[in-house]
Amino acid sequence: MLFRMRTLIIKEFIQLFRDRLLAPLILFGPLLELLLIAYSTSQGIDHLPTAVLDMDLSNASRGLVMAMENAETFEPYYVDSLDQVTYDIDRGQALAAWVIPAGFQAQLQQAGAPPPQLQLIVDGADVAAAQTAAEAGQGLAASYGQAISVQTANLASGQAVPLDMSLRVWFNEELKESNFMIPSELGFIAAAIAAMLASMVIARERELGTLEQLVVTPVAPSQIVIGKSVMAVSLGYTLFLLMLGMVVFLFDVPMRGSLPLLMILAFFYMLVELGWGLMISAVARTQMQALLTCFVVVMVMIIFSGYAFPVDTMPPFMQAISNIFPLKHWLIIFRAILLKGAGIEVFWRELVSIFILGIFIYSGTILLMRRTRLD
Amino acid sequence: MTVNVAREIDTKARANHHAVQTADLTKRFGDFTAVDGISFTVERGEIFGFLGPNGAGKTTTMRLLMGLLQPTAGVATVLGFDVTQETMEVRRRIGYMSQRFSLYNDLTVAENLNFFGGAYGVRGDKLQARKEAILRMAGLQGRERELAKNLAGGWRQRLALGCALLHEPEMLFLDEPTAGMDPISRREFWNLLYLLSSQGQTIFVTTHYMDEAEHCHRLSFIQRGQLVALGSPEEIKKEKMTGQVLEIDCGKADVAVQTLRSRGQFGEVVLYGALVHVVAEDVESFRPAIEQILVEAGLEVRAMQVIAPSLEDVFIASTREPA
Repeated sequence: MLFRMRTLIIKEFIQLFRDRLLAPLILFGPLLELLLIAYSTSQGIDHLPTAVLDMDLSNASRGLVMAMENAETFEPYYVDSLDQVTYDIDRGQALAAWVIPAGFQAQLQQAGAPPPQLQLIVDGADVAAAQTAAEAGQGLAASYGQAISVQTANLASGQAVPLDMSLRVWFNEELKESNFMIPSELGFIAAAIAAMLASMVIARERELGTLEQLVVTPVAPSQIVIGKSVMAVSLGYTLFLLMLGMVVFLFDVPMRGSLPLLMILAFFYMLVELGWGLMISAVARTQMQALLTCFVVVMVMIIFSGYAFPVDTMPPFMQAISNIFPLKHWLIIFRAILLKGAGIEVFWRELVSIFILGIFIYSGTILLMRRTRLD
Repeated sequence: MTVNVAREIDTKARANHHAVQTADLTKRFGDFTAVDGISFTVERGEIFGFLGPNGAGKTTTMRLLMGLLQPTAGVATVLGFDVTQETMEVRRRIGYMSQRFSLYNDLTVAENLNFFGGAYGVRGDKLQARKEAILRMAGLQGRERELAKNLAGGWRQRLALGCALLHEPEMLFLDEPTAGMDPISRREFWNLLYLLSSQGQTIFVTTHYMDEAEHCHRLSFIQRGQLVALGSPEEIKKEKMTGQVLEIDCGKADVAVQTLRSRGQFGEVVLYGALVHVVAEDVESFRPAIEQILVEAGLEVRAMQVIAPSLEDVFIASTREPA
């Protein structure tokens, strides 16, 4: 029994590594993708080309632009009209724009006057840049207002004058917390790859006709499936660990929670996701069918489970559907452990949900496999 | 322990059984009856050939015997074990090689042998000894590290046969093992089968090569799911071939066949390579008429003689009988 299992597992690994491209592609493809995502979203976004429409042309407004330049987030250049601002942002020449109204300095220096208005326009189409610009702009305005108020303390009655900055985001009116691509990628891709790999290697045996040969031996069909699953999960889990290491060590994503807990739960989650890969393998006759079916499943999962878009912003109907995907619950758990340092007491409901979904997935898989039989 | 002893006694008792015994074995797929109530036995130690045109039910029958399909009706035992109830007992004792290349192309010769050894539970010194014997048999010594996909057709099929023999099965099932092989490789492959047979190996083989069928100890013809003939090649020829065969060499054989068939009076007229075979009770009496018709049709009759029927003639004659 154990000897047969060992034989089956060894064979899977020989075949995996015999294909010189497959294993490296599976391991380094997602790593590279994560690297690119992490690099483009978490590395400092600075020197954003910024159009400045200064309608005040005062010391105060020049000081603000100077402060902007020093902060390095913005790379300001002057424009003459609001039309020019619109034009530049439309064409992507500017990713942000400041509008300093006439009377900025006067308002700033006049005691009792309402805080002067500043307008920051960001290109919401580029979510990450927009968010950085908005945050930096607010900080800049706050600290500049403080500094001015200190300077003007003698003139006025000694009160700090905050700058009232109005922020307008164009193109994406509801800019939300969206920089969660890294945890999503990390939490999901490895499990999806394990499931895809399992379904493909089973479909391959069927397509090539070797499955029939295998079924005629005293090897039980369940042993064949387990042998392939062990290989797929080993590879998927290795990928997960590599990605986790890369994110924590290279990109300073905080690892606030318990590492052993995360590793155990990630393994558990991977086994649950493996289930649908096996389910697909029960019906797919060829590798191509398996691959394309997996692809569709992954796309649907991505849409419904908060991988790319926050679940909260979906219509209630879609939110309800999202609950049937283990991924949705897992992302909550994953972010809670990684970013918030939470323990099981916080997310046990999600854990139970994944467990129940896992039971459903595996029941369906076993039923399907019984019906279609391995050959 | 007692269980083992019981099983041993059981196995000995079954050793006297036929290698294969079926009774009214039937398999339907929806409305289509692939195997229609066939009954036959295969004796231990014989090469039993299973013949029939494509789609006649050869492969389905073999799959039923190996427990890959469940029969719709009827029973079958292999080596004394019921194929539906004792499938694993059957599988432990049989070797199978399918018409498709049934090895792992991306594994080497040695890895394939190791894998199938493991799958059948052969290990250690025993596995080493079996591997060496099989490499010798297949003529693959020194090529253990070559990938299976790089082997030429004949070598691959011999390796596949070797993998099916690793666990010293009591019975071999071969599903069109020589399909697509060149004549020399086929000859070598069959020499191996004779060798195995001389050592007492029971072999159940499907084929549609008639020359191969001539070499089986016993044969069965299957057509539209039914057995139309069963016996040794000689018996079948005697029993099934009531007529004689007139062989005609006349240039455009296809035209000749059309011409003679259109007359509808000469029994079976079939194309036999570049020749025409006319099969009838008293074929000699047709001879002048046939010659005249062919000459009138502008064909040159080079030779014409009554010959001993080959299995192919029998095969075509019996498959044309209304079922």
